[in-house]
Amino acid sequence: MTDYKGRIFGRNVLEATFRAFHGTDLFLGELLAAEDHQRARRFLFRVIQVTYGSDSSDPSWPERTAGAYMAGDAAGTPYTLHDPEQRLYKVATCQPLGYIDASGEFRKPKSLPSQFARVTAPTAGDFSFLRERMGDLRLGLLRSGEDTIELEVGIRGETLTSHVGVFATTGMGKSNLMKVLAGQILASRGRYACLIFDPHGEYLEGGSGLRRGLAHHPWAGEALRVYATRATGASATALRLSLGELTLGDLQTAYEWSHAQEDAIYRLIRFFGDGWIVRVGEEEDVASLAEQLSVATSTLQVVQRRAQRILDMPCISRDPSQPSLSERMVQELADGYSVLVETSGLSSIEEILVASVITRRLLETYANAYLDDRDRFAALPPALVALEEAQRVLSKAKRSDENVFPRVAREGRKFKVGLCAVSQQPKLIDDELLSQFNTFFVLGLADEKDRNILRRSSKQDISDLGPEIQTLMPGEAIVTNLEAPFALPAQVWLYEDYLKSVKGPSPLPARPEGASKGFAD
Amino acid sequence: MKTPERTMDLVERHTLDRAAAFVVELLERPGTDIRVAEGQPELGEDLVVSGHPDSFEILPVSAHAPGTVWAIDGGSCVIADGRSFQVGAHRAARVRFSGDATEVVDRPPLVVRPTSAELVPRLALEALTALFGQEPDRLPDVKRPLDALREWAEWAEVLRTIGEADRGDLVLVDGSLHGGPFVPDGVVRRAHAEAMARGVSLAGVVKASTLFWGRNAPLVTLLKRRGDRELGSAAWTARISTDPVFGRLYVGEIFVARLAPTASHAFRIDVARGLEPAESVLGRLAGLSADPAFVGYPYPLARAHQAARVTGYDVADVRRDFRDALSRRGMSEEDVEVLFQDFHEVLNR
Repeated sequence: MTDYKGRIFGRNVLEATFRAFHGTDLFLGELLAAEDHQRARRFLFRVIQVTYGSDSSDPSWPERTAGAYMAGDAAGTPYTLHDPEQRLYKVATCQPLGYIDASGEFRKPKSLPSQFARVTAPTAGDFSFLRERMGDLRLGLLRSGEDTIELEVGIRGETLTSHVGVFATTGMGKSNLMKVLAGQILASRGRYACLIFDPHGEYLEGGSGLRRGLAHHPWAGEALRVYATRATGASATALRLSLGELTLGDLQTAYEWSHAQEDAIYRLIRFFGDGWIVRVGEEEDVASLAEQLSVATSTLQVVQRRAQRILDMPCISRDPSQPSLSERMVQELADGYSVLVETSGLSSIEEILVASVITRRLLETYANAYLDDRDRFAALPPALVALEEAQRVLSKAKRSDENVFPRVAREGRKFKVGLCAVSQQPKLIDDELLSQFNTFFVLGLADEKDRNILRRSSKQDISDLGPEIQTLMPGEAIVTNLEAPFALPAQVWLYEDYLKSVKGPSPLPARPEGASKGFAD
Repeated sequence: MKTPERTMDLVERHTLDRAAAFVVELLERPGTDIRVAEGQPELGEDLVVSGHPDSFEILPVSAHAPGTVWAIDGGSCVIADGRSFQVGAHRAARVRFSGDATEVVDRPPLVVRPTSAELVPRLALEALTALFGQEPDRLPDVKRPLDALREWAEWAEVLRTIGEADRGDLVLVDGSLHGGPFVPDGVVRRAHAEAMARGVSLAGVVKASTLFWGRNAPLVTLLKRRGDRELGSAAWTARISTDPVFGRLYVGEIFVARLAPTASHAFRIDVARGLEPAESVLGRLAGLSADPAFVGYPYPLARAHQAARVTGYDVADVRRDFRDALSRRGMSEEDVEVLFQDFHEVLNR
């Protein structure tokens, strides 16, 4: 009886309405099924709105009855509505997801189920057609309202290169989802690689309390390489990049420059070549230098202050004899390792500078392999670059040919480099770039503007899901990509629970007795 | 020639004021007697006793558990009106309410009946013979046959229900317990006798009361006004049948009651004499009147009303079915049209 929810009475191919029992608990995002015996079809729906209904023909009946309740409360004699199950009901509006035909094939919703069809809770079998589309990077379970259905939801690792967006307001589970995704990449045994910039150290260590991080992943020892700008333990390598690696594009990505400042930099480059940052950073007589370059002193002072900040960064080495680690990181990614760059010691701008340098080198390395050595390119694992607060580098204001991140968004797919943009404010991301993202993980988003921009760029129609997205609880997500036939509601695993299910690398078998006999003799 | 003065007013203002003055005077004008319109059905006359709305004692009533309660109500509609004859449909519905919920709703299909001056005596004889258990001494003058058919069906259902009810159950009737133009007092007395024999309580709730103070002042309204003034937000009852004549004429006591503290309506309630004291029956009724959709009205009667009701859609459906039946009997489309023609529909367009 609890599986029986009600009967369909309206409305059209694109929107179904059904009457549910008064006592039936219905949730936004709940998945339901309706049987059409006549045509041997099973229709699938998602609840997008629930309203009250009553058998009274008077439209103001509910208001008057509420008033009567209140009058009773005020008089100290609370009233009770008798037979609510016979007099009240719920009306659920549903988005038809499609139907399963007699041969078990899933089809898009192009026809109506029979009127008054019985609506029930779906079975796991109803969604078995999804199983083969759920890819090898599983992140949680199919969600129906507040319950889950025993069907794992995920994405194909190959689609990482067509970019992933993770969008949510604070506390809705972005970091958890990122850890599960990165964890699955770690466990992929080198099939995929991931470059993660970790500004707060929470991806690595898990953050506060009992939270776990990638450092606790059973495959961390085998598949994760950690670079840090501060001491994070013996397992991390101190991050070091060469000053000579910084390009104008990196600086344009990290800083806002006025035209005059950009002009000053061009002049500095023309006068001093690759050593311009050191030259301007250490210049004591800025006014003379400005005069020499024919730029305003105040303009050059801004450039100098920024150059000095860069020179002071502990992870930037001026010594050309010291090799940059970016090359090593890219090589590790190419070898199937995942690389985590812990940037908690850096400011936001410095973090972008570092991310820009490493990402650019990754993109160039993969692009060169694509152009010069197709065999080598074929062996490269798809790599995903994950960046927090991605709107910092993907906004319209940052649209520049020199900015590596929009380049990755536009061209990365061809070179097997994907971008994972994590953001609380997708509305600040350039919508042209957002349309390049084939996979969205949408967690709770309170701002309507954020939801609207995702609605326009999503690969599935999520225009009816505004109320659901607004009411998502932490860990609840909507997944859209080209693989899934509709926007999938998912419950992302809690990373700590997920860790319990991960099998680490098998230990080496014990050495057979006497195996070394003869070698030492 | 003088053109008549044009006005945008919907009504003639002086007639409106005159009507208002009549109503105000009616409520304020002192009367010396209490009148029950057609209160002596056998004689077809009003019952008049001396009394004043301020003289009735208004007492608070406490709601208590209603136990098992049955409620009966009827519904009817005109299917075709040929002036010299009518075709009508009616039904009597009943509900059983127990333990805070409606357990049974009997909503029988509509019975379609033709009526005419010629047919009415036979229909009355059939119905009243069934209600009395024997042929009646005389037949009432039935001016509204469809209403009569409905009321007879209701009382047939009351009798059936009393026969099925368990000891201690309460049977509620929509209307008074003193009979009327169509239902002779003897039918009510038979129902009362059977209820007494089975230990079943019987009460009637009257929505449109025929109790008056003086000539036309509505007694229920006057008592409601007094109750509001004196008791405020409270449930109360006032026994109207204080004069000994009521005891001789009726099977029970007549009350005016406000059955819930915030109810906007009071009702005339007739409680038949029986094993259960009237105060207890009124307490049960108060216990049934706390549904926020029908504050102050016994909920089972509201459910019975809904079950019996013939909606506009029902009427349209039955009319369509009746036209089909006429066609099957060989009536031409044109004749059917003429039969259903009502020039008011043309005028009201």
